[in-house]
Amino acid sequence: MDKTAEFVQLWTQYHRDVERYVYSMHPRASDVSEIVQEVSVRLWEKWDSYDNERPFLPWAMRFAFLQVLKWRQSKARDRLVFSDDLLDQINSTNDYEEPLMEARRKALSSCLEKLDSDDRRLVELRYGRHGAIKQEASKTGVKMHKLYYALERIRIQLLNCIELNLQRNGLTDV
Amino acid sequence: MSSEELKVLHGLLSRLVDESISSEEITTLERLLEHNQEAQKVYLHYLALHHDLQNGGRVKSPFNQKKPVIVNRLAWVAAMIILCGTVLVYFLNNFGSSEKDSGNDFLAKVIAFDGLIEWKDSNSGNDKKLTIGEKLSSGTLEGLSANSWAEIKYKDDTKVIISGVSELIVSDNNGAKMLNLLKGDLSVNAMPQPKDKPMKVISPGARAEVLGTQFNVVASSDSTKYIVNEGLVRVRRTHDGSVQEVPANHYVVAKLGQDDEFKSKLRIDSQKEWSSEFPRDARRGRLIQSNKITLLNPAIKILSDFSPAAQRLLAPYSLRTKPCLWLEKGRKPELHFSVNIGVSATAERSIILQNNAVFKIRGSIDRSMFGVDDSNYFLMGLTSNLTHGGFAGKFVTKETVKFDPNQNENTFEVEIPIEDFWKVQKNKESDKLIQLSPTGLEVFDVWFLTYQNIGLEIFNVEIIVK
Repeated sequence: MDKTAEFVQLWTQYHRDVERYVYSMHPRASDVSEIVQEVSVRLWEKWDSYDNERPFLPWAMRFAFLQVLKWRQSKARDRLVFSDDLLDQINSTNDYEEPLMEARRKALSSCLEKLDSDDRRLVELRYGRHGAIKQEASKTGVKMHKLYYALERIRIQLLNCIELNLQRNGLTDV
Repeated sequence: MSSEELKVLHGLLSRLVDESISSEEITTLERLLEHNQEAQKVYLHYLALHHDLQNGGRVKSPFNQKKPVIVNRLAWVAAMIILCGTVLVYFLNNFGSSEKDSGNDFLAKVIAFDGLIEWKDSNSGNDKKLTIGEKLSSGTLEGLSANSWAEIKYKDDTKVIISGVSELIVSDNNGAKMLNLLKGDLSVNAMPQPKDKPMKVISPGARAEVLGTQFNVVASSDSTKYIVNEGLVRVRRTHDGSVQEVPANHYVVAKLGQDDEFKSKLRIDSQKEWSSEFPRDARRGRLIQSNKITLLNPAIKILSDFSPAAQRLLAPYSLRTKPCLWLEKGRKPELHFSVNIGVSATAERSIILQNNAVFKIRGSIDRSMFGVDDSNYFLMGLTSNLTHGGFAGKFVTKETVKFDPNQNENTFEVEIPIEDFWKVQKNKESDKLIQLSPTGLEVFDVWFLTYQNIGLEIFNVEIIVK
């Protein structure tokens, strides 16, 4: 496979992981796509130096981390979420957690199926269509904050289900 | 970690991902995470869960399987596109359905488009490239580069066009058309809507109700400008609920969470000449402020901070190109560098091109970055609207900058007459450029693009009449 095709294939395969990583380092949804855009440009510029004997994702994440730091430097302090020191700590913890992320994602699919229909519908509204929660609140008369509390509960339920799933498969990270 | 701490942490993370967290709560969250690897794991798992749910296309959840994709008889096609613009990375994972319908119960059809355009269907969660004639149900229409635009038509002939780097969620609420403009430019030509089911437009900082009218919407991350050409649009500012009725030939600007004046204003008569003003007109690019004088004299810096006129003279801004990478399976990745500058989009008046109009551009190119002999050119494009109307097309031209080989000067000044622009014509069979003058059209915005990183920096753009 030529180098260009290899880049396209690997970036197609891993760009969501890089995006998730960037979101963890800088939890401002509105900035994430632009940071990832910058990461992709940096990766392409450095593509000639990539050693294809080594895994792509850790290589890409190193650039992503540097790009997050660069982004934070270019923004006013009030846009920053965490201190640089904490960011370093989270980055180190992520190194340990990263190998299990794909397994977590797979477990999520089966956990979603286990939700009861009302909870599943609420997840669908929250993540399926922008503004749907607000519409649901006005349609049903249920207060918005109650729907968000329900979502908070469902997310914890999903997280617990994922942990259980990993433990059953001998992939304990707890 | 105690169960009580975990409960607090989960509550904070919930508000973090729902973007309702306060700065005090951020401080509490930071305190909980500091030097606590267990809490950091919870944090990473929580954000990963939220991210995966948001990218439902990759998670085969039950709600993404309502309309099964016929994977087994279709080839999997992966494509990806990384975009320029407020700025995006997008990848197409087209599972290759050859069906053009998104179901029988479609909302609108694709009439025309050009540039990088992507459609994400709400039901299947799949991204796909559009084709002309495709039927769309609810989903997200995205323009991914400065030259992108797409026109869709509803069953009642209402037309909606997005232009440039834009993101529009198209949906239906019990028969009422819903448009949610997350960013970019939108032009709507609405046929009369049922009185009990007005079309609704949601945008940063505002919501609008429409019964039948022509209007254009310019959305940035923190504000929206509604420009009404025909009929009446009722605009409600989101943060305080105040309402403005915007009649024909008026506009209103709603800012997110600010108490600026929110008042419908008459669009002052159009003008023939115009000069860019940064940062007001910067829509994409890196803003760079000259500090030659302000570094020497702090008093001048203070003056320039408070007076836009002084700032223009003493510490002017320029706009430098930003890179973007365009990837598509089967093609060589394309890296380009661009800036986008608002003209009528950001000015108070509408700027109409006269037949003897000339674009005068001042800027610089870093000649030390020239890689090959023909590096010294850029592409320039403009988006046009009909006078008192909607989107009228995109025009482009190529300009070569000539430098004196005996001088080291990097700055340039070029003049481009409007007859040098070619219209981008897109139809079902082909894309082509046709020689058609933009005379008489409103210039909405202009952009500059280079394919090599030659450090193109725009100091000023003017439209003058010769």
